[in-house]
Amino acid sequence: MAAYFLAQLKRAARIFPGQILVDLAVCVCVGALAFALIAQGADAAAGTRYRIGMVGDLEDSYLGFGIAAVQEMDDSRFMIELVPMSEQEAETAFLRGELYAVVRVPEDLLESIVYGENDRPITYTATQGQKGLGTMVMGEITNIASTLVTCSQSAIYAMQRTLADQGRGEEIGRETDKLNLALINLVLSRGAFGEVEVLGYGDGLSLELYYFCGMILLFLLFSGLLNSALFVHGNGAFSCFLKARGVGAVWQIFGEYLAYLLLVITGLLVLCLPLGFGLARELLGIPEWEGMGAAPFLSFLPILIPVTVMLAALQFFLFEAADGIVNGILLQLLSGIGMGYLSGCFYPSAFFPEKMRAFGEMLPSGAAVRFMQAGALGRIPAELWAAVFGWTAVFFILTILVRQSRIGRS
Amino acid sequence: MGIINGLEAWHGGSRADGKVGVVNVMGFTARQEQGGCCSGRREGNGNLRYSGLGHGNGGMSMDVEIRGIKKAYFRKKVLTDISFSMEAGSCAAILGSNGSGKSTLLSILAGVRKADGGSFFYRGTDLFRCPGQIPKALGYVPQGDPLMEELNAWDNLRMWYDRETLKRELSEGALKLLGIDDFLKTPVRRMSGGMKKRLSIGCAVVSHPGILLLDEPSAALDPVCKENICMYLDAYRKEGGIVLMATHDAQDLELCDACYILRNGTLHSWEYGGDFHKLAEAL
Repeated sequence: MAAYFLAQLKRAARIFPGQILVDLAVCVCVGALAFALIAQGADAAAGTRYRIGMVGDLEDSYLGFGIAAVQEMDDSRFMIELVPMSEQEAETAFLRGELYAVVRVPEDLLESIVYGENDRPITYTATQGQKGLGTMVMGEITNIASTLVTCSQSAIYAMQRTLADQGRGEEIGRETDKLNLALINLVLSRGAFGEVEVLGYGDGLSLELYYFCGMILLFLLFSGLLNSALFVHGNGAFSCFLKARGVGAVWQIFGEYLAYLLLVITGLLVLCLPLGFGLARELLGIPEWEGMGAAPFLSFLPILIPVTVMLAALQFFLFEAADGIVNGILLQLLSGIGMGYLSGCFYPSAFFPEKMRAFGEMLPSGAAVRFMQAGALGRIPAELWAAVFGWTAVFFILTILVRQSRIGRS
Repeated sequence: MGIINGLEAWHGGSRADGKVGVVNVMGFTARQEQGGCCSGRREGNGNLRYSGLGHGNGGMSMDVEIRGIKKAYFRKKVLTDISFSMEAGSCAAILGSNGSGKSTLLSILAGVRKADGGSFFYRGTDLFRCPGQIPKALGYVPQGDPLMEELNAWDNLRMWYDRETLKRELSEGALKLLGIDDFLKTPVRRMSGGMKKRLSIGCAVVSHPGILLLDEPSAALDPVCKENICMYLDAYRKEGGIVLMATHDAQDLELCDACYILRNGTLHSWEYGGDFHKLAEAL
């Protein structure tokens, strides 16, 4: 078995230089693409604001002040742009898709509020396609505003009635202003009501670290394609010959798998060189590792070994199960794309429906990416270890069964 | 027609006195004697003898007794009660149409597949009951070449031979006789079919087996390559080795003492008689 393993190592060594060149070329292409996409996404995110058209009676100075306050003072100015315009302009822009929504302010709105009539509702118009989170939030905000207005009206009227009953009519104006200011302060300082904690993606990872893990997973998923040369020329005669010489399917698989694993690990280390360099130079901008150079990445590297062992076993099984090298490559490609997508390498899996996300997490790639994410945060639960080793064992057993069947058939 | 006659036919003949001659067909010098014997070395008593052919049992009686081998795939019976015996130094061919079960029979004997029943006695030991003995007792050359394409001949042989043994075999043993030394550094992917087949045989005889099983050894080979392999096999059996091959090739049949036709899962003894057209009729 040792001699067979050494022979497989020699094969891998013959293939290795070419594979390293392919690995590097793929890394450069993927890296450049990722950099361009991230930069483009960041620019787009920085420049994207929801444009909401304001139409109707905007002449009132209080309303004008309110709009100006939201636009200039409130944090929401980074997300929402309120654009006063005419009905005609708003309709045209809305139909062209240039506006996210249109808010129509009825005439004498503030008078209605001031006198407690509240019979002039504001109309918020959005398309059916935007019946999402933004619309829901807007509905909630409207409810809150409405409650604030009616409650403050009740407070002010109650105060004015009380002062009048007590014969302190001269204080009503001053106290009303004080109460209004108190209410405005209450609204503007609403950020102190609660603390919003942004956990990010995948159990608290920043988007950058999430995608960093995803990219490594994608590389590992596609390393089967990069190293497919090792599976070319594999023939049934050789397996039969080995069996006749006393090297059974189990030892055949182990000998071949170990050589393949070394090839994948070496390819991974080649990929890690530019990544480590980028992290050391703070080029990759991963918030969790900021200012720490390549040290956290170096401690992250050993975490990749169990994942690599599992995914190499998966690829080995796929090549063994496929009939011929072309089918094997196609199978690798399809499974890589499918599992990469379901496990959140292309889009964060948090965006997926619940069942789809659960299915993605059950897949080997899901276990791998969760293992890496947990490792990046420094805590890998026992069930993830069990999942990774369980899948590895399953792939080994399946591969051995396929090989035995192949020997029996050839 | 003996094997040497065949050699002469391809190489124009070089035997001067009709008794002993020298031919060089595989990169090594082989002597030939009356009756078609090939040898690498002349012994003191004047007899010609191959050195280091592999099985190392020159002159020793090695009998093979195969009884009642059966094999079925699901409901389809491929082999039904296959029984025959072979003596040391004999060569037998198993003939049959495609899919008749020749390769299945050889792979069962080689321990690659399990028979549903039967026994395979070699020198009194049932190899089916002692499968660990099979790699030592026999060499098996499947129809495809069991070689690593990226590696050269040396590296392929090193899988099976330790360094010292390999050097010895290349200088004076079976591997020299097979002429492997000539293409030792050639990657398998650049080898001709004949080179690959010789290298495959070289890998198979590592344990100096008493039995050599060959699955269509001459398939897709040119006449010179076929002759090279026949020369080796002839020498091998003259050393007391037992050769059992599945073949369709007339040149291979000339080497054989016995021929069997495998038809409908049963083995029938058949007399070749040099007429290849009879074979097509028999199949």
